[in-house]
Amino acid sequence: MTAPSSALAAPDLEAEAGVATALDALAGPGSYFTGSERMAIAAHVRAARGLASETPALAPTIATNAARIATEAISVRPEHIAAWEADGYDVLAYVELVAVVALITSIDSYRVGLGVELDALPAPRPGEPLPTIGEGAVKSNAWVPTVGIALAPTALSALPKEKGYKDAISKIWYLTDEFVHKYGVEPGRELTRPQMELVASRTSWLNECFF
Amino acid sequence: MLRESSNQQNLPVDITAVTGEMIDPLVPHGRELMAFVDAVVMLDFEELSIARQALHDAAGPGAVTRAAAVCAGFEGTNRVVDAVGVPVNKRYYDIGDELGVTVPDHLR
Repeated sequence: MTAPSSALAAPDLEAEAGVATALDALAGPGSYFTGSERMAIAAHVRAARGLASETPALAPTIATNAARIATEAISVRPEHIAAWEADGYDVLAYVELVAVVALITSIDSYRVGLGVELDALPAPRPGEPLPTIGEGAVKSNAWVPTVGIALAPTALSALPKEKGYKDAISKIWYLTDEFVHKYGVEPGRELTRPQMELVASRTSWLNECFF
Repeated sequence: MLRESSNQQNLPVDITAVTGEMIDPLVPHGRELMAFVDAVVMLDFEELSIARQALHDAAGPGAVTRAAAVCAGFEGTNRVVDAVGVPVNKRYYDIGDELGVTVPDHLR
């Protein structure tokens, strides 16, 4: 596999493989959306962020929520999810929407940071959505069902496939489970742990996120 | 996490730099890292070309790649936790006060 060329960034073949896997996952049918719908959501996210201009047809409720999550997630309120359900969509379809928005946003921001072109959105893979729901997923302390208490690592746990896609690329980009809570241990990345935490903290602050 | 890792490694850090302007975080190449993140998250391509070059010159091409990677991961995570209403852990309230930010009511 060849990494996109950037004169100022070192190639990372593991990350390239991770991005390719994530894009392939985005292009396939999910639990509630077809591959075509997931790619349309991704295109709308790019447009909402000013990274693309063309957007394929997408139901207004889905497009509106995708744009909100992509550009001002801190403004989301339970009322938005209630309206989503009132429009006839399953709350777990909302979780899938969040997962798709987050994954394509991450991939695009990675490319922006590296200074290379965005990946072409892959052709959707055919097939009907097939719900795969986490056992025991219920609403507890968040606005959507989760398996167990809702924390950052469990936020997408109601849809284990979506959680898996996000976890896989996150471990490549940041820290594996082996290191994530061992604050005194350096994982041997190009940046030290405090440097990576500074990047993470600043990113969260700019997104008005308190995680 | 920033404070925790710095404490455990006995390294200095000024976490108020995270939310402040012109404050040195005391982390090596901290200013370059923050300028780079600012440009990526704000999609400020003009500033980004400057910030990327500065980070590269200060810390090397691997630092650019890793900073882009970590930033990218949190771009996603931030959207997930805010969009599904994961409440902020109460143990972070004090840090929020220290940084001059208030946890919004809807995430308490």
